[in-house]
Amino acid sequence: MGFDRRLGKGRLLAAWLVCHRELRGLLFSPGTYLVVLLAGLAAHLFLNTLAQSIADSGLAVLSGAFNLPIYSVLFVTGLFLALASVTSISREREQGTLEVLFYGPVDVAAYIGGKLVSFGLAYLGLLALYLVCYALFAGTTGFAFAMPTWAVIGLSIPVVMHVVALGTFVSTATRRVRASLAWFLLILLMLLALQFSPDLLELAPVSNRFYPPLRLARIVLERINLAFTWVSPFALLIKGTEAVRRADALLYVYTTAISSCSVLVLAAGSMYLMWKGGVRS
Amino acid sequence: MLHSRTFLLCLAVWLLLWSVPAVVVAQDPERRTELVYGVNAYIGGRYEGDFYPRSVDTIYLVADAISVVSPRYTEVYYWPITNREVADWARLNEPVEGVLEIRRRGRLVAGLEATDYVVQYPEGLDLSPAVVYLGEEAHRQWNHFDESRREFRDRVSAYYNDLVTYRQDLDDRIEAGTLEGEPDPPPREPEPFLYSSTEVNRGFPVELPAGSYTVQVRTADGEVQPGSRRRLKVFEPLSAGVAMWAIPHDRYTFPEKSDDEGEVLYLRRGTLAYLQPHAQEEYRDIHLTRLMDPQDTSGRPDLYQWLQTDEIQDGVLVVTQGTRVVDRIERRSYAVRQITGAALGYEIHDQATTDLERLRERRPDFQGYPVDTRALPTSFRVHLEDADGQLVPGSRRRVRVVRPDSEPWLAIVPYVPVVLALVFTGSRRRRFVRLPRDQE
Repeated sequence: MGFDRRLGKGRLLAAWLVCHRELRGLLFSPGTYLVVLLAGLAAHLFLNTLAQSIADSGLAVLSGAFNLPIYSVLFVTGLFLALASVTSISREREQGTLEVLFYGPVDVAAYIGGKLVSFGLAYLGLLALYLVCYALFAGTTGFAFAMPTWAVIGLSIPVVMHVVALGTFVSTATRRVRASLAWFLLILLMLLALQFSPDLLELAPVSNRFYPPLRLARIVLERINLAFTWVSPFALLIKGTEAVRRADALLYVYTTAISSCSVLVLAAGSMYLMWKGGVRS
Repeated sequence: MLHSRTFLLCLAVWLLLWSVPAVVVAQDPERRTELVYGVNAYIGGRYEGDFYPRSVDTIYLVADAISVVSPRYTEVYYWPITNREVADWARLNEPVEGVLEIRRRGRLVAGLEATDYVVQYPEGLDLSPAVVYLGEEAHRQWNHFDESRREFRDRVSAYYNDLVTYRQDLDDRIEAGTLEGEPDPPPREPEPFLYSSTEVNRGFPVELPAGSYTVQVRTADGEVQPGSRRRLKVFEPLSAGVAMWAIPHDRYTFPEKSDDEGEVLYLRRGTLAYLQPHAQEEYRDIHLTRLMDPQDTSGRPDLYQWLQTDEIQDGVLVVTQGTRVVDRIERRSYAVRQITGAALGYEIHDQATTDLERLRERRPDFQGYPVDTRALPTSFRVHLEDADGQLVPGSRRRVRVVRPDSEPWLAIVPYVPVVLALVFTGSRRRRFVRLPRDQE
């Protein structure tokens, strides 16, 4: 069940079958279409509002007209795929599918690899669909796809895969769908809290009696956040966006590389956990 | 009966008067005497004055420019309404005597003596860079400012006297019926007095290269003044660029600002906009935020901010489409005239071509490069060229002329995936037809 050397080239086939199966599942999932619908509606709403505002004021300065719809869509799509990855493995384990699957010529590397590739391909497919939709809007309104928008789209691929890999990791570490979802949402909330709580603590009045401990808490949270920069997709996304804004190619490459490495580490961790934990619920 | 009513009325008045002091509570916060640092910090061609209470342990200054720090004793209190510590300079403002020592990694870098200084803006507060004068020169420049101010006051006084005489003379001639043809023009109003200066103050002028230091005051007896030790962070701009301000013709007081080259300027077809290039410097968010407001701890070390400094006054704006130069636009001066009458509005006149003499001769309200979308393609780029014909780095911008509305059929596009979903689901149902109940 672990890393079966006898599989050889068969592992690629097995991974492709797992990937194909998962993609079919996503293709027939109503959630996928709901996400695409939301993306289209968001773009239409934002761009119409923007066009109206330019018509009223005569002028607007934007780093990208599509930035806001793209950010919202990337967030929703990333979350959808991550939740799909969280539920996918633990549900198959819970229903016994995983056990049956592993009687065949499938090992953990083929299974986890196939799953991650399927989510990556699904994201690229959805991204292509969004871009077609946005190109139609851009062609008829005159709004431009600025260079920073392309850079953010490029950055989103490893960041979304990072969240998906985190979901897969959580899913392999738990036994039940409910537990997987609960743990994943808890981790996401914790990472969000780490990212934004220092700013929230900032609102504490300077000279009230709680100020010194709150200030200390802010410093501690900032330090933890600094350490979590290496693992938090939110921190990496903010850092990458800042790199795009400042046209800092080195920071952009660094962020993309860290995100990609995190995907590999989490994938390896998922394989290890599945190998150690077994496939039974 | 009457007595009892009078008695009750008196009692009510007494109770009312007695209760008033109880409901009126003065907001008199608790004060404490502290050694604080008053700082006049140089930033982007001007000076920002603020104070560092004891709770703020790091002073932030820009590298290689004179800033003035002044350790003082004052009374500090917390003001909950603005969530800040406030200095009561009127009650106590006592300079700390001694030498300001600046150390880096324990080694003494400078021992500064207090000196008189003055900060001046010769062409106006937001119109020219600040100049700081130290020592004797500070007094000379202050006297010069004072003299100029007095001369201006005399000019204004003379103008009003001339105006009264002119009106009186005009009235007399109208009354006597001797006015023939156009009357003489009225006396000219003196140019506004924009020269600005602080009073002569005393402090320690600090000019250091970027780095981390500590500051403290050493008194005449060789001891370090208690409470005077602070950290000093001296920082420099990370990069320089050009901010492009775009002023729409129909709301010239609200320019839109474009900080970096990745931004796109979207204009409505038919819009006339004026572009104003400004020099700018990039700083870490935490450094700039703390320098501007020492008590604001919201600045972040991983974010960056642009700070706009002076308007760039030389050069030509070049409009290009691909590699082709479409237009070269010169910088022009504009005067704004309010429309007379009840209706609100204004007119922007090009001072070089206007027929109105008064507008031609007066100081321009603003200057800029006119970009008229009626005469330009729908997609183009602009950049600033200096006097040598070289591209000014950071001045390139993309401009798009957008349609005010999108095609109505675009509203259908978001629903296409839902139709696809229904098609997929339908095809799947056809392939996996459920068996009738009796055969299950």
